[in-house]
Amino acid sequence: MTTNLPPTGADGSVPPPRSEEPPPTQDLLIEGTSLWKDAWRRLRKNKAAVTGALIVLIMAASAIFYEQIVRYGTRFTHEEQHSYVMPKPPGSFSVPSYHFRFMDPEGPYNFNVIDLDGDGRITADELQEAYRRWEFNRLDRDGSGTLCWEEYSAAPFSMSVDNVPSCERWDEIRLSRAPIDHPDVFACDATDGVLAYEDAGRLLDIVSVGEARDIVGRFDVTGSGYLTPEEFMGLPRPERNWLGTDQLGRDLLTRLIYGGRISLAVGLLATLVSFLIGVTWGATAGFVGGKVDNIMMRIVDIMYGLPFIFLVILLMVVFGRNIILLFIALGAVQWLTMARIVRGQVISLKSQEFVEAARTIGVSKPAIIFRHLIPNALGPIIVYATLTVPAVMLEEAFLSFLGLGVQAPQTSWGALASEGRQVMEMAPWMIIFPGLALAITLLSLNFLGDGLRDALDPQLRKD
Amino acid sequence: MTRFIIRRLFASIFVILAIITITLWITRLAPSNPCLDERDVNACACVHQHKLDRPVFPVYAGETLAPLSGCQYWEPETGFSAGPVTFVGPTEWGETQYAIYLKTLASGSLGDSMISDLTVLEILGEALPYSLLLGLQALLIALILGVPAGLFAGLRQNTAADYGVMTVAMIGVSIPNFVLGPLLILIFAIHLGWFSAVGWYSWTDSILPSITLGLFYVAYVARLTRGGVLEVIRKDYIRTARAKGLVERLVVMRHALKGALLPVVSYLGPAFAALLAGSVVVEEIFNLPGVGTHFVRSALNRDYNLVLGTIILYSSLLVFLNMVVDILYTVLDPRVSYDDD
Repeated sequence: MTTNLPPTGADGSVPPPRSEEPPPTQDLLIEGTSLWKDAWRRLRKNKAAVTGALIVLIMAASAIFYEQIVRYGTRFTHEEQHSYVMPKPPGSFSVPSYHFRFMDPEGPYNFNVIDLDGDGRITADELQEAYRRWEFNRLDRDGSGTLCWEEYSAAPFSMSVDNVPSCERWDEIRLSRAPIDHPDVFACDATDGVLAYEDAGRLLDIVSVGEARDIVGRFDVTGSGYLTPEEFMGLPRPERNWLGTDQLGRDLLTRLIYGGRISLAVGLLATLVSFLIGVTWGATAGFVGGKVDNIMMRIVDIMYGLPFIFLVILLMVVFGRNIILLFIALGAVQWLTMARIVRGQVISLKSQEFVEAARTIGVSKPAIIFRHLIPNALGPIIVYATLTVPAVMLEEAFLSFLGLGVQAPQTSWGALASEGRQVMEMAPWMIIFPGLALAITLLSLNFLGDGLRDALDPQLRKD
Repeated sequence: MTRFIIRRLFASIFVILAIITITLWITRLAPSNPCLDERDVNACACVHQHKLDRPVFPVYAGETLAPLSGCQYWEPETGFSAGPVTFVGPTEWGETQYAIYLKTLASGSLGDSMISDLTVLEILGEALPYSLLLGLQALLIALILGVPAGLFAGLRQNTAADYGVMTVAMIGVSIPNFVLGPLLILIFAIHLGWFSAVGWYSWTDSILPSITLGLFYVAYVARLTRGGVLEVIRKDYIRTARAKGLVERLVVMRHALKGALLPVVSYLGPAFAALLAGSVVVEEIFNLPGVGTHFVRSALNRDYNLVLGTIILYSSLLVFLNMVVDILYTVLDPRVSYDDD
């Protein structure tokens, strides 16, 4: 038997020689439905499965477009939160972040306002000045352009209130127009007991020139030492905490999306690992049969009864929280059922004519398994893989909850829930939102898996 | 049946032995050791006391072992040596940590805890009742709530009641217990003050943990029971039972239920394994002094003997319970027999 014969199709038919005309058009009039088309039609009718699929897609999209979503939704990436955002008390809803809270390209402090000399570039000095003005205008509640005592003493920042004379003293000074003797405050208020901007500005040096330079340098892509309008548009705008913040003042939504990336990635990759092991093992056992099959399946039986998750816990404890190890360990736990399903499918398929045909023309055994048997058994495999993803995600969350999953700067939904538990009396949303994200995703995946099972394998459907 | 049980027991011993070997190997591979927290003077005493200076498995000639924690290394010929030891000849089996541990096991002990002063048996004996009670109550909740819910839904297939129950069950399957547990604490212990939030002082303190652990299985058992009912309800023997004029209640209770429970029974095996795993988290959340807490803590502390002890306990429990499930299966389904060869 030579090997240059045309390969057989998956359905066993020999493809027509290339020279032949395409099939006559009358065949198209009675269009047959393929298994996949039929399944797709059934799946679309299942409202729960479609909703689940949509939610899963949204979650996946948010994981993929994390940068963009975070940039426009919460303004800071997970990494930036650690360095650029001032720590805040847990659960501060919409407390603006410290340094960037006024620099909104679309707000009143846009590029043209900050760019004082109008030369189209923002230098560190201008940034510092803009910050000072912003702070002053914030304090100047009545918009008079000067600060009176009440406004001044309400300043939330660390201007030492001890140095400010009492209200009576202020009033006395203002009425008597006596010379100002207080060295720290009244040196700058030479006239009437109110602080004009020029006077107050000196006190409002909250951002030093060095810090302003630092901010400019961070977003100065071209390295020119100043910010161009384009670079200014790239600045993170004031932070928005849609879901509140955590105990370190980091935005929860950012962390949720960031953690979702890890949770979903673990779910997918560990499922892939289990898929590879399970399909190979099950297909080999089913195809070879006999004693080999018996031994391979007995091994699976034995492993079913093992406390696997404890070995995984042990592995994670022993070898540190290595995320690659996590994928492999979780995948290695989940392949048993997959192997059984694939074996069953392969056994029922391998005696069919198209496999016989492939064998007769001398296709090698691995090629028969991977090119002919597995594609035909794909339906149940896909269904089970879909149901494995939530199971694996749950296990990852379980490990992360025990503190054995992903490591600290990284996070996952399980790790977030674990953090939330520690402060749940004070900040219940910190466990509710990660839990909700996890539950909704698992629910959607379960509905999708059930829907796929009903669609791909209607005989399994119990109704 | 007796032959089946004997064969299973025989196989179980090998399985557990394999688990012991793997676990021992993993613990010894770990980058730390139980004596690391001791002071310098005590560290070596600790190493020598627990015989951690021996090779873990038989060592072959020419292999070099570094001393543990900078302590003297045990050497077969001279007793102790300070530097790394290159073994000249293969060591005896009897001098390996593996063999020493197996000998301890053979003498009916699980060894001493390497961190605390208690023996592993004492620690586990104290912890096991909590974990067992927790697991059994959770399983009971699962069966008492799940089976009727599944029956109810299955007998009203494709009605609003069916969809309602199954949607609730699906939601139940999707809520992780480590989210459910803290929320239950928040509502029932902190806000309503009905239970104590953490710890186990009286039986009532086991209610919240059991619900936390069991609710997932309520949902899962309900799904399985419904599937089983749908499978069975169209069978000929049900039609026969109806045809001979049996009341519907009896048809369900006496005939359908038995068949419908088969998937539930076959799920019990994996369920036990998952319950044990779940109890680790639940014990952690509710701060219960159970086996799971000891397992995680001992793994973090590198208390080798306690890790091995809990693993042995878990595996034996699992192997035993799986066997019980298999036997139960033959009772429920006369078609299944294990005595075919």
